Amino acid sequence: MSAGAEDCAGLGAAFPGPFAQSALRLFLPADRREEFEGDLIEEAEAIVLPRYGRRTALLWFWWQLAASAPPILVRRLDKEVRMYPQRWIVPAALLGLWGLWGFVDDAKTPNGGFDWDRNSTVLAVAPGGPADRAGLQEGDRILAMDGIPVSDLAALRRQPRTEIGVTRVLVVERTDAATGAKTSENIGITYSGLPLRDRTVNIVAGLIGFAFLLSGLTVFLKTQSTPALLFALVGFGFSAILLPSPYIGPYALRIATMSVFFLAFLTGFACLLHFLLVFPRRKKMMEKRFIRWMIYMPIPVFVLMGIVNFLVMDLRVGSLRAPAAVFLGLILISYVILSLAALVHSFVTAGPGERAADGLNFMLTGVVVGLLPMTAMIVAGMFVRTDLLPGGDWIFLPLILIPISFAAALLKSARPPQATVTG
Amino acid sequence: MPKGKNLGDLEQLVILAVLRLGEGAYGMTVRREIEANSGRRVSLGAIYATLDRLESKGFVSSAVGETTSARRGRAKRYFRVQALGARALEDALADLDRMRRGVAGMDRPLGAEA
Repeated sequence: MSAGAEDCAGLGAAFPGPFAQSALRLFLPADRREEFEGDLIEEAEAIVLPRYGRRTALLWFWWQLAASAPPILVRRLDKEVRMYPQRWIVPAALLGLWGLWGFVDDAKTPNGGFDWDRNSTVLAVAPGGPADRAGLQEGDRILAMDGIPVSDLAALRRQPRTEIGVTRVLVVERTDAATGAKTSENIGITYSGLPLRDRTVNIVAGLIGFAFLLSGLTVFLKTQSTPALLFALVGFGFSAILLPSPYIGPYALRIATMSVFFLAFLTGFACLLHFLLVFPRRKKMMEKRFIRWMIYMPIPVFVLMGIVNFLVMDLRVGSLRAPAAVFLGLILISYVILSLAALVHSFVTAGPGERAADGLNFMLTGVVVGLLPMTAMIVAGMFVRTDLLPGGDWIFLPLILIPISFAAALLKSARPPQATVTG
Repeated sequence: MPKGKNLGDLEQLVILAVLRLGEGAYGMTVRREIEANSGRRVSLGAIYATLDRLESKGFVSSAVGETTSARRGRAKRYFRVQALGARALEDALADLDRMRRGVAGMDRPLGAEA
């Protein structure tokens, strides 16, 4: 009798409360909310409550609710994106415009012709550049810029960028190599535009960026398969970092934009690896959830590191910076090596017919030819100074073959089955 | 490329659960069936996402069912496995069988000393 009374009472008339209802509304589509609520209520009241009691049943309910949000949201996003592929044209066009704006801004970007490190020490002075002409030397310690001491980071960051033709006065401390005596000097550097080499490299990077963006979009508009979606994301991520970006005045906005673009870039690498692990055939290892998590794990790690860095560390002298840079380097190298390994594995394990039908021949040729000049340059660099090699500024341009060949492979493999080679 | 023809392991479990449950397969019972038989703890959301994906591939179909007082008047959605889904499951299980047959001493538990 008492059990019957408990059943009637259940978790109370107010269950699930308005808070739970609005939480459900956040991630469930309207047409599935009723069933989902019904399922949760039924299990919580009919199975969990009689066995474990009221408190556990409520905890169970909330735990189910929290654990259900991610898979349902991912599924909804996935569906949405595939159902309306033409919507991707808008962000792609915006990114393209951003890049074009960056190209325009390149002509206005001031260049002082010197690099300095976190300890305000001048590391390098470009020969013949503005700093060199003004008399700045390697090893000089910068004390102040335009009257703002370098220790006042907040003020330094809020200073707008200089313009071409404007003179900025640096106060530097110079140590005499022979006597060890320190002298203080005022050096007025008149900023020029970017040197031709930098602008060439920016143009080459921008062209590769556009190639990634356009090939990703083209493929995704033609076929909405998972590999095509991943490749489109690769396109977005890589073009975000490769396209020149215009200068953004407000410091907070600048840092926010840079962070978003950096995360897009990292996501691009993760998607590249994921793409090569599922295209042309999904590799067995991808069935492990752990592997799928690992591919994307660096992204939340970097988000966390970024937040910690922003909240508790100084951005310029933060002690997290060096380990973060090393970690980033390792992650990027791992992505590249694993991606190459995945591609080679796909090629080696495929039969000749599959290689042709799935476009693997295209992909491998694209990667080999794309990377060849850079590899050759690195090898040559062991023997001669690479800046003396002809065409060095254009050395990255063949990388443009990678997005184009990948897109060709995806389009080829997406063709109807009668086009595939048998045997 | 075989577009979405391969089944992930959760997809296999969900199709098997729907088959086992017969007429009574809806979100909650599918979740319980998997948890009871495989010990795998899956959230209801993961089951919903998987069923939705299977439905859009044409592997399962669904129909809105009755409301009960145990659900505070909320309707259920019953699922059934379609021929296409049954075939995909057959293929996936046959692949596993074929692979397993290559393992020495398949009458013993996998990994046991020969």
